[in-house]
Amino acid sequence: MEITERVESAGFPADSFKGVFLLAKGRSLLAKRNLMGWVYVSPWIIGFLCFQAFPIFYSFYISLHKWDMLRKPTFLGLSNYTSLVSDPRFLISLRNTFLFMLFSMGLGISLGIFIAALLAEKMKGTHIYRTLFYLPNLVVPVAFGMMMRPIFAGQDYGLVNIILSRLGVANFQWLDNPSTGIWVVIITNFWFIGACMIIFLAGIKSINRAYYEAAEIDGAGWFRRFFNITIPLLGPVIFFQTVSGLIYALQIFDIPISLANLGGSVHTTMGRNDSLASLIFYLYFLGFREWKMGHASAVGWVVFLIGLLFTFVIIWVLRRSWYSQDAN
Amino acid sequence: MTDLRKQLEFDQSLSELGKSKKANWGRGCAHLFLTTYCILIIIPFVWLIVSSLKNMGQYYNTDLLNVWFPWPLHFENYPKALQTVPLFRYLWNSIWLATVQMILTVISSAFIAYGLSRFQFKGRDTIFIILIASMMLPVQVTQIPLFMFYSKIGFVNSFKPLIIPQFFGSAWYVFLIRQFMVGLPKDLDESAMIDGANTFTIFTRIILPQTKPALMVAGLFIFLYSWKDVWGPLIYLQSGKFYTLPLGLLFFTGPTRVEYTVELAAIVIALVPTVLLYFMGQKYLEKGISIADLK
Repeated sequence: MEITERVESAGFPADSFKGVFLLAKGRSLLAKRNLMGWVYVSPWIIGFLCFQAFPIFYSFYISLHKWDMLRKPTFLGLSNYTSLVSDPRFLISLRNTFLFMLFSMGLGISLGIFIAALLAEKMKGTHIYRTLFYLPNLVVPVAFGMMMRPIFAGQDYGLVNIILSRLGVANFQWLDNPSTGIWVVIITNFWFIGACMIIFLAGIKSINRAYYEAAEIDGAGWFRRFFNITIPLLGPVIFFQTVSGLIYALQIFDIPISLANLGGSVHTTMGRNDSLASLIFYLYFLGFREWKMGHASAVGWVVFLIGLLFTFVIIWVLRRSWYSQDAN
Repeated sequence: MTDLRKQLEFDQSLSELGKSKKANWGRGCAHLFLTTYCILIIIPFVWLIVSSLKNMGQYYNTDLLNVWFPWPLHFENYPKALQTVPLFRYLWNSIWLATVQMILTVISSAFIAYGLSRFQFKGRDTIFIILIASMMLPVQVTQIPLFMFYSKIGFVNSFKPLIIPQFFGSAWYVFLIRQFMVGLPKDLDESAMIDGANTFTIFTRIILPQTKPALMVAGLFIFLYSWKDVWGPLIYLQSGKFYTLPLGLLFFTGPTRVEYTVELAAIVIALVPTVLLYFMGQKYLEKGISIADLK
């Protein structure tokens, strides 16, 4: 009798063998079993320590030195960092990356939500549109950049220039001019809107139809519904996409390097006149072309800190997006 | 009877809402916008394919007709592209690397996700938070110390640095699979526990089969990501024979300077595999997006 009572009070049906078993064997078995959790998680912990935590701190140590791989490292203190401030290549990388972050995140995400909302409606051909939008995301970015390069090339036979010359506008050296190089990267980023659009689409589809129907009956137009229902309820998704977009934009590298491809294996500048510089491109350049490991590590840490900073900013600005529609 | 009528009228009035002039205008505008955007997206690809069939003379000719409809077509650009650099070897390298990374990462990530979802131990939630935070560290920032380490032990210029980290799971996929596992019912687990099964057996016999959708989605994404990746290969694969497809493309000009149109053909060749894979794996991708959205 006592046993069945104890079993019941633990939440199992009185005649449940499972309940008796678990209770009888006691908590020790469960606890021991739970400790196995550590075994399963250990690979990740080891990986994290070896490939992420330790390297990032060691990289800071490296950044305090002048270190190429051949000679002994010399201690420099923070001068790798202070020299960045007056380094024109760093400054243009910084400017380019910031511009890219601003436009790819701001416009990219807004456009992604908008298109997703359009495609969520019952319309003919949504399937085709979805496929077409997502297709560029499947393409190897290097191939994509190399495809875009001749299109934006400065000579007469660049496609954009051909079109412009038909309209009477003079040829422009899009890729070679340091002020416009990054705009090519920004524009080409709009080809990749499919990935974030599809995620938003899934999010929109999971919103309860009742909200929309109620709004429709109350006479709300499409845009009203979009701004007052869709966007607020997509809060968590928007948050996640913004942070992912931040990380992606911060480490943009594939597209600039393939746009900068000067037709040979040796890149001596990041695009002509460093027009296509980005922070990570610069890191690659310093570290693996000029073998200035200390300098490159300093750039790496700047990237890391910028990422941290912006993540906190985003968390703070979008902190009210933490709820989902169930919490309403 | 009257209720039915009221219901019908109500339904009719709702569908009227949809059929109103305003809605049709809106629909038309949406289609216009979407179609224009899609056409813009396609134009570069069309240009690429068309131009890859030109010779250099036609390429420099900016007559509108010639730009879009060159004649004659020079299909020999494609065999030339395949001869200039060993594109098939690069293709094979990419396939091999992507497959290995996919299998290793899926298995290790599932292993770790099992630990994070089916066990309650102190510190589990802390680890989970660190996991999510670690997703925000760009991989390039940690690369320099790792490179120095690998070169000390002679692993550079091989596939080893690209494969070893995959044994330890990857935060994003651990997260994805864990979210999925959390939704699996616990009854089977518990019955197996009572029958005396150890945790590993439960993992392989019970949890894994149920996690298949998430595993396939993760696998597909890992494969795709590895295929597109150029950072890792660029740093660690230094001999031509190891190059993956993106890398081979980047360094396309071989010892002899090739015509640019041949390079365009090579780009087209590089674009084909993933597009094919997409159309084959389409439904898994879509399932994946909805699973990834499970917050």
